[in-house]
Parts: sequence; C-alpha cells; structure tokens
Amino acid sequence: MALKQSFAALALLAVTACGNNPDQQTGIYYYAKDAVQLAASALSEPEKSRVTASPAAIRNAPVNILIVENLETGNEAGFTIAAVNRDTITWQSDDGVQVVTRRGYLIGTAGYGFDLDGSTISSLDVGGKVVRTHYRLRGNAQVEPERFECLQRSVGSEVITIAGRQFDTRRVREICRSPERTDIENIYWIDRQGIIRQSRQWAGPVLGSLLIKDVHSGLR
Amino acid sequence: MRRSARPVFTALMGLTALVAVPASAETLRFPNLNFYGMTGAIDTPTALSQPDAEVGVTFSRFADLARTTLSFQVLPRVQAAFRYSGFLPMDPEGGNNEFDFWDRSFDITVQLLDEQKYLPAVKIGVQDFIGTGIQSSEYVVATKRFWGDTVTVSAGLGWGRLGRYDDIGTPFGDRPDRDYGLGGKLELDGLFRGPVAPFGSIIWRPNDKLSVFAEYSSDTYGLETGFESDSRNRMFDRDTPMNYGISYRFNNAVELGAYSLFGSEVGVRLSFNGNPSRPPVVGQTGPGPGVVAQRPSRASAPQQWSTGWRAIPEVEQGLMNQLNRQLEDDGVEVVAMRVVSGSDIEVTVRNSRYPAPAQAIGRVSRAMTRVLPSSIETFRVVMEREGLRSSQTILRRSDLERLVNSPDAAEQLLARTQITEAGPAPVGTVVNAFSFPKFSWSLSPYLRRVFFDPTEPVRLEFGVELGAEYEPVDGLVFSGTVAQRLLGDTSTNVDYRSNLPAVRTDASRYADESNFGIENLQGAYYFNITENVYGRVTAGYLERMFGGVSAEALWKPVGSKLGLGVELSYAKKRDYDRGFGFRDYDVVTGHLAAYYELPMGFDLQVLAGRYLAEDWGATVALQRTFANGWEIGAYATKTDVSDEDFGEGSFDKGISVKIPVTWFSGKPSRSSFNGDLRSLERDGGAILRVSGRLYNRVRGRQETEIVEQWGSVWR
Repeated sequence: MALKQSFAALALLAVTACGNNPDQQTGIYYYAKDAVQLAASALSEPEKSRVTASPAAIRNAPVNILIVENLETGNEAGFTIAAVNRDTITWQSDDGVQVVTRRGYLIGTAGYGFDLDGSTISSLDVGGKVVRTHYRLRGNAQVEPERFECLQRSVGSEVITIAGRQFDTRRVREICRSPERTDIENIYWIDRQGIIRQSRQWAGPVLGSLLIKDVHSGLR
Repeated sequence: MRRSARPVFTALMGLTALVAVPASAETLRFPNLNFYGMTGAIDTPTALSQPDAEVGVTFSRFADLARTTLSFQVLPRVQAAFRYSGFLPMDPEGGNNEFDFWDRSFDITVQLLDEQKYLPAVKIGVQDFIGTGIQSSEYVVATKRFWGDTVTVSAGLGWGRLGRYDDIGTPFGDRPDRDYGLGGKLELDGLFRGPVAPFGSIIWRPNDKLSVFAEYSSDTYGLETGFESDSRNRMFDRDTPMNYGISYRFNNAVELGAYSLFGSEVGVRLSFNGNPSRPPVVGQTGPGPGVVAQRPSRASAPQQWSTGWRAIPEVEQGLMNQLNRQLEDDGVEVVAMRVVSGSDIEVTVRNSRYPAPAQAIGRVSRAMTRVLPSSIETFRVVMEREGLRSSQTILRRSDLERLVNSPDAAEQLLARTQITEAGPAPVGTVVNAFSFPKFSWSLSPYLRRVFFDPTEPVRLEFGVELGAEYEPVDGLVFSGTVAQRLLGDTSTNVDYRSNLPAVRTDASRYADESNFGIENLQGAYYFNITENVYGRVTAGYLERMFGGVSAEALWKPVGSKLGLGVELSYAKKRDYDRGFGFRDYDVVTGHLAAYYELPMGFDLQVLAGRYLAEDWGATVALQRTFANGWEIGAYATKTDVSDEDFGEGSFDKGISVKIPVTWFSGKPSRSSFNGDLRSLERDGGAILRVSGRLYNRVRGRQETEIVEQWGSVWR
C-alpha cells in the first residue's frame, strides 16, 4: 500500500470523522488528527497572542484585570477575576486558562499544562531567606511537593507603566533553589501601597515564568 | 465554558493560545539499548537498567538480519522484551532451503546487584527462552561506570549464542539440541548449558546525546555465516569479534546509531523510548475548572440557608438542569439525583471525558457549590456508567470552600473524603428526564492490525466505521457498528487450520468475503444486582465472528482488591460475509474469573472455563496499570488441547499495551490506543469477544482508581 495514499486517507478520515458525541472517537482518529495538525503547524508559525485593547479600555474595565505573559511562549492575555476564595483570587482568560494569586504571589495555574497546583507563600524578607513549597502534578499522576529556599534582595527602584498608568516601584529579586533545581529567579515590583504591581514568577520546569501585571488591585 | 460576560472586550484581551506547549528541554541520560533492543552496547548486553517502566521500540538491521524489539522495564530490576526477527532469507535448518524466515522471541533480564562505589552492577539474562530458540543465549554480565557516567565498562560470560567464540569450557554440561517443532513452548532444559565464553564492551559518553562503542562479541553467528559445520547459510562473513559504533540521542524519545559489525558489515539501529511517567504534557491544557462558590454565612443570609427549597415541586429536576448547564463543556453529566436530607444530596454522574474519575468528581463538586442551596453540606457523587453505579464519593462542601487554592489541597481533601459503595439506586432517586433516551453516533476511521503472518509480518487494514448507540433507559443499551474497508487487507492465503473446530483460524475469511459488514449489533443490559454485585446480559451479533447471548455477574466491593466473576454464553458462528446469517457451529462457553490488584499497579486475572472450541482450560493475565492510564500486560491461555491439535505456537499468548490519548495530547479524553500483540490466532484457548465485560467497567470507577488519580481532583 502506498504510504502517500494511506497518509492522504488518514488526513481525510481525520477531518471527516464526526458524530454527536465528541468524547467518543477511536484512538486512530486522534492519531490522524495529530498528524494533520503537526503538518499544519510545520507549515505556519502560530501567531503569538497579544493584548490588543487600548490602555484606557483596560484601565476603565469594570472588573479587575491581570495581564499575564507566558515568557516561555511569548503569549500574553488578559485575565479577569473569576472567583475570590478566602484571600485567594482565581483569574481566568477568555479561553478558560486560570492563574491563582494570593496577595500578589502566584500560587496556582490551570489549563497551561504542566501546571502549578498550589504553593505556600512567604512574606517579603529582603536580605533574608524565605521558604516556599510548590505542589505540582507529576508525570506519574501524583502531586508532589518541591521545597524552595529563596534569598531575597532589593535591586533598586523603577518606574513602571501598566495600562498607561505609571507606578513608582521598588524591585525585589529572589533566587531560589530546591533539591531538584537551582537558580530559579523571581522578581517583584512593589508599589508605594505595598502591592505587588508587577512580577515575574516561576510556575514550573516546563511552563517556565509568567510576567504578571496587576492593573487594578488597590486602585478601585 | 466561556464565563465572561464581556465577550467583545475580552476578545481584545488576547487568548493564552495553547497551540505550542514547550517540550521539556533537558535530555535525560539513560543506558543505551543494543541491537536486540535490550539494555546493552552493540550486540551484547550490559548490567544497567532503564528507568522503571521505560518502554522501548528498537529497529535494527545488519547484513540480512532485521530485528524489531518491544522492551519494557517491568520492575526497576527486571527488563522483558518481545522480538520479531527476520532472517532475509535463511534456512533455519542450515540447509539450502532458503526463505524469508521470521522468528518471535522473548527475553528477560534481572539486575541482581546495583552498582556501588567500588562494585559493578551485575545482571543475569535469558534471551529467546520461548519458542524456536534460534537466538537463545544466557549471560551474566557486570558493568561499572567511571567518571560520572562518562565511561561504561562491561564484561560478561555467555552461553548459547554468546558462548560460541573462544569458549573457556563447558561448566554445566552439554547444551541439548532444541527441537524447533511448533515453537511457542518454554525451553528451560538448555539454560546455562554448553560452552561458555567471555564478552565485553566499553561505551564512552562525552555528553548526554552522544555514545561511542567498542565491543568484543562472543557470538559467532554460526548459523547465519556457515561457521557451524552443518550450516550452508552465507548471510555475511564474520571476520573479527570486534564491533564499533556511534549513536546519537536526538531527544528523550529517539536514538539513532551506526555501527561496524564483525569487520564486514555496517548496521543501523533506531530506538524509540517512552515512559508512562514522562508524558508530553503533564496535567491538561484547555479550560480550567469552574470556580468554587463561597456560601454567605448563615447569619448574613439566613434565607439562603433555609431548607424551603425542598417544598419546590420537582426540585431535583430543576437542580439537575442547572448543574448540567454548568457542566455542559465538561463532558460530565448528572443523570440522577436524590435528596437525602435538607443538608445532603446525592448526584449520579456519567463521565465521558476525564481519564481520572477524581477530576470528574472535582468538577461536579465545584458545580454543586455554585448551584445547590446553602443548606446542603454533604455532596455524594456516584460514578455511573450505563447503569453500573460503581462508587460513591462523599465530600463536605465546607472542605471544598476551605481547601480550594490552598497549597496541598488534593491530599488534604482526600483525608476528609469518604469513598464507599453506591449500590442499586435507592428509593427517592430521581432520574434526569432529559438524560434518557440517549442517542449517540459516530463516524470514525479504524485501523485493523494482524501481526506475525509468516508471509507478511504486519498486515494493516484502514477503513471507516459507523457506530450508533441508543439507551432508552439507564443501563439498557442497543448498539451497533458497521465497517467499510477502504485500504489494505488483513486476509491471508496461509492455511492456518488446526485439528479443532475453526473458531478463529478462519478470521481471514471474515476479512476476505466482504468489504462491508456488521461488526456488532446487540442489546445489553447493565445493572447493580446488590451493593457489591454487578450484572450484564447481552444478546445479538456480539462480535465479528460470533453472535449469541451472554450473561455475566461480578462481585467487586468498592475498596476490595479482589473481584470474582462468572460468565456464561451461548455463541453461534456468524457467516463470513458479516451479514445477518449464521454458520452451523455453536457452543456454550463461559468461565469463572478472579481478579486481584497486586502492589505497584499490577493486576492479576485468572479465568478458568470452557473456550470457544469446546476446550477446557485457563487464562492467566498479568498487567501493570499506571496511575495515568497506561496498561502493559501479558497473558497466556492453556487448554486441554494437545500442542499438535493446537498447531503453531502450541498455546495462546500475547502482550497488550494501552496508552491513553490524553497522555499524548494533553487534552482530556477517555480514548486510548490499544495494541494487542498476540501470537497467531488459533482455535484453542479462544475467548468470546463480547463487549462491556464488567470488570473493566467497574474497576475504573472504584476506590483504587479514584485515589490513585486523586491529584487531578482540583484540576
């Protein structure tokens, strides 16, 4: 059987497979679909997502917004508040991806894959050592902890602009190590109200770091 | 679910665009695989082990020898392999009657000692111990690594194939000649007999990707080269015992090597690796879970805490409608509800998407916090599939509220959660009026595979199948599938007949006679008989080759490691055109079954009873199931049929592999790739392939699976 012919057949089957229940398809369907998607993605670089709303529109939005950039992929999106549970906030993008923060610290993600399931947080202790534990689902389907020790130090002040508004911030840099890895870097830009206005926080070994800009907290 | 109320605005906010998930960049350092697809150097073994559960597929070729090996690190110290070797062409008897000879072989190795600071790792291995034994050898090998893992030095003693060149004696007596016969039998008489010879190798690994090999092999390839006195084969010349080579690991999945073998040949090896613990995506991409709604305090909103909702007519139906609206995009459906009390509600849930039942339980519980009146504190989630209520998970709403987004939330929630029997639906259970009747259909591609046909090792058939399912009431399912062959052909001209009634050896005729046919068309009823006993009755065209009636009962308490079952069927052979007609062979078949969950995810199944050709016997299956859904297993069936009557292979045995689609795609799905590598399908030890056997339907929704995959409960 000609290889070309069978690949064409696979591609055809992948696009023609149908039914009223998307959860009932054979494994070969997914195989064919993946092959077609792989070929398609090889032909065109996917466009990076950006926030295209104007700074004024973002600033004047009726709900609080986080602008989150996945530094690994370069994709950026606006996340709005989906829920407040105790002192944690779940933020959600329009495609359902979530980040969870507690007092500005990243304590969870959902929907990226390789997500951060949960994290303890630590108060700022510039010049000192803080401890933090990440909980992540591993390849063996178990949630396992990773305990970090972080050294924080102040790295000067900086004026940053978020959605057209300027903030005077002091910058705190944190270098963390765990039994699994070293040289994990987090940076917090803390404004005059003491709010983490912008941060670069590490979420996991594959997901990498997220650059998080807080548009509204403390300003309503 | 798009939960945003501001679609236009959010459209401008970008999407996280999960098209490209970055792949794990670091290359892991595992021991190399050799030409036999086992942990080793070039053509000889080393004493190292692959990571636990590592699966490898190796294609190697030199001269006219082609080997395809599936290897599996069964346990941290045990590696097993199944190999299909082609001698293209050769006379296996050593004469002039050459043809493309294909041979199956099994290996097993055990690492006896771990590598220590000053002591080497030591491994004992047995190659090709079932079947013709044409590649059989046994060895003891020691390996020590130096300068980190930069230089690997191995030395060993080999018997059989590996004991032929420059042997140092015959310590344990002569090696008896193997009687090739029908193959397929355990051959233990000759192990570690005959001459013994040393072999060794050095591997230099300057970095994680590159390996350079030098090897001294004690295999003379006597049969292949005519070195042995009675062999006339001349597949290649063995000029030296030395082999050299280089290999490059592209990533954690692919390694390619090129080698100089025996001074005269060039060989290549391509290995693919995978491990259940190393999925391309850990967790899932796609929408995160719905939020956990926090109840207002009783003091601040007493009206929301009233139990007045109980007086609302058909309140269950109303609540189910709301829940299912919330769960619309989650592939989970509430099919029944019972108000246990003003503070306690039971929902019966059907999960058609999430591989981990815990994830479905989590998403339903979250929806319940958003929908149910504040007075309800106890959530009971019954996992159900087509009438079989397999488990009940009891959660407290205040735990969900208190633990959501907390650091170690999964573990803490599990400690406060109870998993118990569901039993038949109690009085007061209201079935969702919109859930039934249920109708679904699908048009999908299919791939049919037949392996180990002597004339063509892999036969493939592509086509489309149209399936439909109608469930008028919970548990009563009418289903059917028709298939149309488009490309390829699984039929063969080889005459497989045995001395038994042709129950499976005529499989080819079912493929041959018609391109279009009914794969199955049946009615089935699934139900809970008592709290711990499940039942099934199926009638119709049960499978491609048989129709009939089948009944089964299974005892499997929710937290029990032991399950016991009984199945009895009357089956009649279907016509070759896969239409509505029958042939004139019928049989009463059935078995008693015991299932036991062993540690480390091993699952043992023993079936004993009467098989399709009216033969009596037993099947033993051992399978390792991983928390993320991978299943790798082997089985063997022996019945009261003599080896001669059974024919080639002597008894039925095979390997099965199941890999969930989610593992590759990162998208939630209950579909999987199923591979079944079995020896030639014979008439002895053949089992009726009725769909919907109870154990697989029940076990996947009980305590072990729920707890094992609990890490996904908040996902």
